[in-house]
Amino acid sequence: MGQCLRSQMHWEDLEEYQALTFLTRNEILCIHNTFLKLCPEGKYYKEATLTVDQVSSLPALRVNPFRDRICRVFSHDNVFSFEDVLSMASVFSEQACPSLKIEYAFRIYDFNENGFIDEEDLQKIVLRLLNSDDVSEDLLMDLIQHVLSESDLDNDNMLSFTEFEHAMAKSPDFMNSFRIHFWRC
Amino acid sequence: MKEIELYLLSFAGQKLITSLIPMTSRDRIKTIRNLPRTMEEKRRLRNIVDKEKSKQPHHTLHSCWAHCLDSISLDYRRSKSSLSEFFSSISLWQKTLKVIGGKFGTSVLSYFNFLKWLLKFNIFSFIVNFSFIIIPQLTLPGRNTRPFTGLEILTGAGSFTETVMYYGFYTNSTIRHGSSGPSYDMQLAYIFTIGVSLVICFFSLLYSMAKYFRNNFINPHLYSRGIAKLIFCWDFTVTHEKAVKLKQKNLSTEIRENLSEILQENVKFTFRQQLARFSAHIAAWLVSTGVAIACCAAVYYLAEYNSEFLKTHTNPGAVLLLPFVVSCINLIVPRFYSMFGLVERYEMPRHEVYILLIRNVFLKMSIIGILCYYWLNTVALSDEECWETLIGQEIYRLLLMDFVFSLANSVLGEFLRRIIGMRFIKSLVLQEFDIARNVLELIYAQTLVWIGIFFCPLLPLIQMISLFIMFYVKNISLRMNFQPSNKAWRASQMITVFILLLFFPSFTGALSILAITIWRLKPSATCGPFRGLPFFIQSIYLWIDTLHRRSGYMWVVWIYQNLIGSVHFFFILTLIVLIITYLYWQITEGRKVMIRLLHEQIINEGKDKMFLIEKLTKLQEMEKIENPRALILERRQTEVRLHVVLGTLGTQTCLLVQSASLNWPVGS
Repeated sequence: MGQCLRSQMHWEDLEEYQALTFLTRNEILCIHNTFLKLCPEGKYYKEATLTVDQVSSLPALRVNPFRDRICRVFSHDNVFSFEDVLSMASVFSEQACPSLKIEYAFRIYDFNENGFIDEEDLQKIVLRLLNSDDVSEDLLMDLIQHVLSESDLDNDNMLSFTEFEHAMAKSPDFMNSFRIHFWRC
Repeated sequence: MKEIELYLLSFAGQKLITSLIPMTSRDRIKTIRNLPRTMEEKRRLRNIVDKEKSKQPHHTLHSCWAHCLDSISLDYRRSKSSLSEFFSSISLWQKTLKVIGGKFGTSVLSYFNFLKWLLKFNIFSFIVNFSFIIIPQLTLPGRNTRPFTGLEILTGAGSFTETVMYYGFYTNSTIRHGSSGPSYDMQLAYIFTIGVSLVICFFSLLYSMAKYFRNNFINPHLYSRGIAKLIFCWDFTVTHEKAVKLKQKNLSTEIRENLSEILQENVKFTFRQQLARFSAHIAAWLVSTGVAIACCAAVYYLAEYNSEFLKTHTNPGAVLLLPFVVSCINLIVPRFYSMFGLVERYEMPRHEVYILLIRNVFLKMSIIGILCYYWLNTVALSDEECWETLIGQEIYRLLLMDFVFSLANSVLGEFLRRIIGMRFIKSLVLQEFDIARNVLELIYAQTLVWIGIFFCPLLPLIQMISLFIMFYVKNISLRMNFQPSNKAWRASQMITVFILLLFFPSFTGALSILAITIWRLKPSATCGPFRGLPFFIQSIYLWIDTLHRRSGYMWVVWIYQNLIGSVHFFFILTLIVLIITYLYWQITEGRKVMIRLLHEQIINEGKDKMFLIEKLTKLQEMEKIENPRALILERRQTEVRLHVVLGTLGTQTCLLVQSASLNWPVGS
């Protein structure tokens, strides 16, 4: 694992990143340092990419049950550019606005990417969350039925984005839980 | 690249660009930041909007003005962001808190955040006291006749009595340096400093309470049992592998508990079972109230006996008996209350936590209440030489003994339990951090500080030091002895309850004690800044009288007589506040009705949608088999109806979300 060209970030780039994301100056510089340590040798940081495996093994994401979904939502063509990493950190930062977090949470939880969280997605979510082998079929079905009866407003057995937003707007715990600290400085 | 171009050229993209152009640059930056698109797209969007904006013709004067405003706001934003970054970089313990949150989750983190928040109050009070009363007093030559022995740190008496620590040391004169230098009236300074710091604490508590209440109000929605919340609100901040596994196990337990709770609600108890449960509750409440009253009576008689005991015995350590007994009661009785859980059965585990909290609060506040009653009725009216200093010393001793007991509990109790558990009884090892009990201890100590600030101005400093040490001790003990747990703990709701407890019995109680002191009691005649006056408040009356004679300050006198001193003003103010509250309440009720109606409409439209979809599929199947032409028209009509229904469905769901978010705004 080599290192990128050790270049300082230009002042204008830093300003631009600060304007386009929710990250503070220090956070952007910390992510820049981490990125430089991981990316392949000899490349300028703006052109270098990280593989999905490299990002999945970051300490912040390593034990997250949804890390593959997070990587899939934020990467393009299965690689992460520096700006992809910044976007990801921005969505998960403390200062991000609720609507952005809800939007990306919806995308992460939509496993089959059909624009809705249906029963199949819910099943996969519950299995990831409980991660045990003794989840009976009955419990799973029961649970999914209860979730849908709470949040599905138009009774079509799926959660559209508006219904998901409505369900999350009722819980302040969501804003506090949907956070990841990517930087170690 | 092509995707971005396509999006920006599309209808939605064009609409976005036209909506961004007339905005101010601040709003534009905010809107672009909030877009859920990649950074490349945002950058292109920003460039396009800037280009469009520069193409627009504008008048020179208006553009000059707009340009100036833009650059001023840009500088302001830059300086604000760098200032906030500076503050967060010097913010205390940030890294430690992140580590705790990562290992133990948001619930335990909330205890440490609460501690940090209380520390800020104490730092503020200390700085205010230090600058306005302690430093002026220190400029006067003091005299300390007693020698220093080590025992003072525990008892607060002895040589500490004649230092700036206690009320009795302060002078009642007007400090003047030089014959024509500025004068500093110590009486007014004392009462105003303490008054102002308490008023600022009051408003900031009110503000925090309102903010948490608004964000975390226990939502009276009909159809939310919180299972969807459990599924979708996984705590992404946890980064330790063991903690994640434990959280998964606890989540599975909680889900099973919730599901069985729902089943349980449909179970009706027989009359005998209901009677048994009801009588168990009544018995538990009687026992707990009885124990609390017994403890209060014991403390009161001990306090009375103590004063006679002290007159006969001259051992300076004997004053520590009362604080020792109070701290023992605070240690043992809450654990006794927790044992009631073996006898009482609650429908929901949440109720158990709340009832335990209420009982503990009742115990602690009644002990403080009985002690205040004793101090204000007996000590203040006795012929002691300097009763305010005596009360200050008592409060100091209580606070210190409480701190020593907490330290001992952490260092000895928790470590010992782990060692015993590892060697002998395995089940003892799994300790979970009892957040409610620890937060109540913090609230108890803070109540004592607020009561004692009048009698002992250095008390915030002592509380600051003790909070500082407690943070590190609890942190180390947590990491070495405790397991993470997430047992049915709604962190945000509990924090709201704690701040409410801090405001309602704790701060308002302290304020009322101080109000009684200032308005009803006679200051001691030989010490302190108010010596010789019939009441403490007399100093303010005298000051208003002196202002009467000076011509330039009549407005102060007017404000005092007509606003603060008159009943009519407060009556009218209360009436206005009540009317505004009533109007807001009616608006909220109206919105709730609208939400219910919209929800019913959405369900009906959903049924329509399913019906039309079934009809459509049936027609399509029949089309394949039979004559197509007759059926095509019907199929087209059904498709149009389906589109209309889907459109209405979308609008109504959006309306529902909007109304719900007006009533219960999403917190940040």
